[in-house]
Amino acid sequence: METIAISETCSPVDLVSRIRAGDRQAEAELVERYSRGVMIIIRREVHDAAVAEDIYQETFRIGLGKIRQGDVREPGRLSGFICGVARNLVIDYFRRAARQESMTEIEEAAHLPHPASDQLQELLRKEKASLVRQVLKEMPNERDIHVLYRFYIADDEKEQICADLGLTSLDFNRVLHRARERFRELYKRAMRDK
Amino acid sequence: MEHSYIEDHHIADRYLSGKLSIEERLRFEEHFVDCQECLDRLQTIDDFRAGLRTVAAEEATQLRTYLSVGQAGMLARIALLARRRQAPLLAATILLIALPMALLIPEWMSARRELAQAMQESSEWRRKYEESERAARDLVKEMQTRERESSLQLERLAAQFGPMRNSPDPAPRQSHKAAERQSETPVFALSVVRGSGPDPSQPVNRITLPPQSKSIILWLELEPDPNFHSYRVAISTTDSRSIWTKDGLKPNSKNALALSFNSSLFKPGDYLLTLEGISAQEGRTPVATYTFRALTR
Repeated sequence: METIAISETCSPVDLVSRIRAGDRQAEAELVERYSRGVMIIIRREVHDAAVAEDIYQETFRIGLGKIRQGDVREPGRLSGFICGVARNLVIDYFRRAARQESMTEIEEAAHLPHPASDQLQELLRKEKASLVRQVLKEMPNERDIHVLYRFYIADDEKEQICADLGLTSLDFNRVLHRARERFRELYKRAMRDK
Repeated sequence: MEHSYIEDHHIADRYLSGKLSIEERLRFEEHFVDCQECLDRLQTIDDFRAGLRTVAAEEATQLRTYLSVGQAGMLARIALLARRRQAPLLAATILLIALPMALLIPEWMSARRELAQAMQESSEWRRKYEESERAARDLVKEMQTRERESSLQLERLAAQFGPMRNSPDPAPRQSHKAAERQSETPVFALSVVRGSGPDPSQPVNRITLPPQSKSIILWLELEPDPNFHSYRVAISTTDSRSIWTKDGLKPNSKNALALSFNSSLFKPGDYLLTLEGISAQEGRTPVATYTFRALTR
């Protein structure tokens, strides 16, 4: 959970006009600014890391190209424009994949993990699980643990969980908020200690 | 999108679990892509969810291991915990183990059932497809064989009857013509008698009875009248001797009555044909009268 510092003074309109004027620094700022969000959007649909990385690169290549050419009609809505480019590329990827005669081959090829990255992922997975255990251990009652399991594992609706466990909406929000905040705190501490 | 709204409605949680509507999803994406707070929130939730899922999966695996090692081991652990008077810990452990299992096992079982069913259906379809394909192949082979046989037979016949074609026999042709004539049935369309009344002594129509034909047809054109469900025809001689009557006659598609008779019914002379319409309310109603003279050649 690294946070990249973003120049808050630069508005999207300024950023677009600087890129159009050929400012290379502005281009780097744009990539830095939208990097995490674009990756989240792509990874939500594309589970293969290598494919996601390609789409991510392509998003910024196309996005910057269009900005340079002055194809962004509403510079104030730069976020919407970047999201749109990413989404279209994701859709295009799935369309191309669907056209392939054998989806299985693509999936099999796409899921070949890199050994080093796999080890790192495994390490992170264990780390997160350990922190979650810590959060669960600290929870004041089993009902709250039950809330978390039902909401995050079983994907039950909030209203249903509240009705079943006799919780108000506020109670429910509080349980989630506390658990998440505690987890964040522990995660930060763990990262700091390393 | 306001942060209070995102927090209150668990937008980030629902985004990650794919529960937002398309409109909400697009709005949220446009927001978070340039919002550090929401990006952090998404990251935290995603990590927390992933961790929780790992914990649940590991506990489910542990439970499975316990079960495979044997109930005795499990019971021993439980007894040990109970002996140590660690009832709350025991309850929490059981809950932590049982809850994810309760949530995951039915899903897993259902998926396995669906997979098995899908595989069965797939193999059934494959079998049917192969059968159809085999049948089609057999049919094509049979057609080819028959075509070959037919052409061979034709060649043999051509070789056998070829010379005969060049020496025509007039006799069969004549008999064929006679048969054609025999099969021709003369049709006589009768014109209706207009005026005050029919005069059988001066018949409007003339029918010539052909000697070579066994039957004739009298054709009566009708004015369409929806009141009549059927018609009645009566034929009599000029001295009022009835020779033919029939009820329940229905017009054909050309709105006419086509009456077929054995030509021997009519001797040379004058005849009167009376046509009546039959309706449910009024019974029989006179429609037209025809007079005709039968002649022989």
